[in-house]
Amino acid sequence: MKPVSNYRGIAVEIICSLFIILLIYAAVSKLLYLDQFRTQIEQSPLLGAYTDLIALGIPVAEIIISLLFFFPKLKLVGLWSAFILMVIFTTYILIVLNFSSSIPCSCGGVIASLSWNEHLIFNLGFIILAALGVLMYQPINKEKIEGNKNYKNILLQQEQGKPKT
Amino acid sequence: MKTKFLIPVLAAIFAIGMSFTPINSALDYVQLQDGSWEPIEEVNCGLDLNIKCRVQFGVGGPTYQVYDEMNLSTAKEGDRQDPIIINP
Repeated sequence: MKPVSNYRGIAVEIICSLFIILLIYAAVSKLLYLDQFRTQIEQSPLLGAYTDLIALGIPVAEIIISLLFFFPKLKLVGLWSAFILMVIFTTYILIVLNFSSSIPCSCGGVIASLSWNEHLIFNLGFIILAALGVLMYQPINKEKIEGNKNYKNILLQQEQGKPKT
Repeated sequence: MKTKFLIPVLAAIFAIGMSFTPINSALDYVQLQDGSWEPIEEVNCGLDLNIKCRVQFGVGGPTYQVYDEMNLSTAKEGDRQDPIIINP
């Protein structure tokens, strides 16, 4: 029977892969149709004043966060960054829903065909995934560190127990 | 280590490939009088007989030219002289 840490590791890998797919897909879709994305942002009552900054900033941020998942030491940072990003996007959706549902979704690719409510549920799902990834990631590292510490202690005790020659 | 790096790379390649897949947009657009774009459900304008495809928001409501994208160069054309009445 595989130890629990193996299943956690696999789950974290799946979550990270899902975020890589989501973030890179969204970023590349936005960059491919940059003019349309810029137009959508201009229509937003909240973001219209920062069109140029957001039109490039969001895809770049998405790409940078997705790159964090490529490096094992930076995966936790990536998970936290993805969590924060999804919370920001979800907050924006909630604010937009209060203003008007006829504002076009400033998102890329097939996600743009979702309604605002569907998009909200979609984002909430990924927030939960990011949170799960963060929660499952830390114990794995702690187990490895504790395991290494115990192993070093055992070696040290063995060394100290050996008679001096 | 190499396997762990391979999975993210494959995921990235998959995502980039997906983003180049053309999507048939299920939405059309009209430009309102204030210049803003309003998405509407995709309109079937009929055969392309170079007649400008227009919609009317309800009976007696305002009439707008239908566009495929939020771009004035993507005006849809069809075979109907009268505007198509829709409920926005």
